Amino acid sequence: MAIKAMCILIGFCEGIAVGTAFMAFITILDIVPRLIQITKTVKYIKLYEYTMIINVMIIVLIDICNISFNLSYTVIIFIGLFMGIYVGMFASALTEITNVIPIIVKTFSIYNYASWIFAALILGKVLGSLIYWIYIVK
Amino acid sequence: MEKVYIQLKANIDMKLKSKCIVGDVAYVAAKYHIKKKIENIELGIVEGDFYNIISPTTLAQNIIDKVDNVDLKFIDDQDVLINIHPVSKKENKFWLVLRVMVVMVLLSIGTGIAIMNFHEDVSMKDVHIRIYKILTGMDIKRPLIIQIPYSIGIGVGMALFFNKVVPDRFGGDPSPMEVEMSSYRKKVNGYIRKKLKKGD
Repeated sequence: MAIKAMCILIGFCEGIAVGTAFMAFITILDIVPRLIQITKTVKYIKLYEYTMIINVMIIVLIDICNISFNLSYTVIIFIGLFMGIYVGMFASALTEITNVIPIIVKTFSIYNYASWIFAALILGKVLGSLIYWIYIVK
Repeated sequence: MEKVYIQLKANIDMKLKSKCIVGDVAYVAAKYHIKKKIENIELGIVEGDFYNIISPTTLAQNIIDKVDNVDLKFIDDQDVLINIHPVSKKENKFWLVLRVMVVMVLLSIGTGIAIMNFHEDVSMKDVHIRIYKILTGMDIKRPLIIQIPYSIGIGVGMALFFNKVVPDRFGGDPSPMEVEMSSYRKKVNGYIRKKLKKGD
C-alpha cells in the first residue's frame, strides 16, 4: 500500500517538474506573444494559456491509454501541417535568441540582402526535412 | 545674453577626413542668425580608427571661443558617437553578390543538416508512427502522409515568425528580428562609448 502511495507521489512530482520546465521553455522563446501579435488577439491570452495546459494533459492521456481514432486523410494532412508550423516557429525562435542573423549580416557586410538570408534559412529547413523523410529514413 | 539650446545627436556617420561642423553633431535652437552662426562653427577634421566621440564640454568650449554673449543650455548630456566610414573605394558588385551567395549556401545546407540531426535525435519517426496509430488505428512503416505536410509546415511557421507572409497587417510593430538587431546595435554602441571614454 505504501509502495503504491510512493509511486503516485513520484509520478506526480515528475509531472510537475516536466510541466514547469516545458512551459518555462516555451515562455522564454516568445512564441505565444508572437502569435498574439500576428493575430491581434491580445484579450484572449488567458484562453490560450488554459488551452495549452488542458490540451497537453488530454494528449498525454490519449497517448498513454492507447486510444485510437479513425480519421480521414484530409484531417491527418492538416494535423501534420500544424505540427510543422509549430516546429518552424520553435526553430526560428531559437535562431533569433542566438542572434545568428545580425552577426552574419555584420560579419559578411551584406546589409541590404538580409531578406535573402531568411529565404535561405527557410528553404534549407524545408528541403532538409523533405529529403530526410523521403530518402534517408528507411 | 541670447539663449541657445543644444541637443547632441546620439549616433552619426561621417566619412574619414571630412570637415566636421557643429550642425553635423547637434541640434541647435536659437534665434535665426545666431543659429546659423553656431551651426557653421568648425570642430575639426574627422580622424580616428573606427569610432570617435565628442563630449558636450568640447562643443561648449568651441562655441564660447567663437561666439560672444550666448547662454548655452544643453538638453541632455550624452556624448556623440561618430561612426567613421573610410574613404570608400568603389566596391565591385561582383564580390558583394558572391558573398551573398556563399552565405546563402552556407545557411541552407547548414540548417538542413541541423534539422535532420534534430529529427534523428528526438526519434521523430517513432513519434509519427505513434501519432498515425492514434489517429487511424493502423500500423504503418513510413507515415508520409504526416511527414510531407509537416515539412511544408516548418517553412510556413518560420515565415510566420519572421514577418514575411503578411507584412502589412502588424499595426506598425517591428518584427522580432528588427527589434533584436536594434538592441544588438545599441549594446555594441554602449560598449564602444564606455571604451572610448575611459581611453580619452
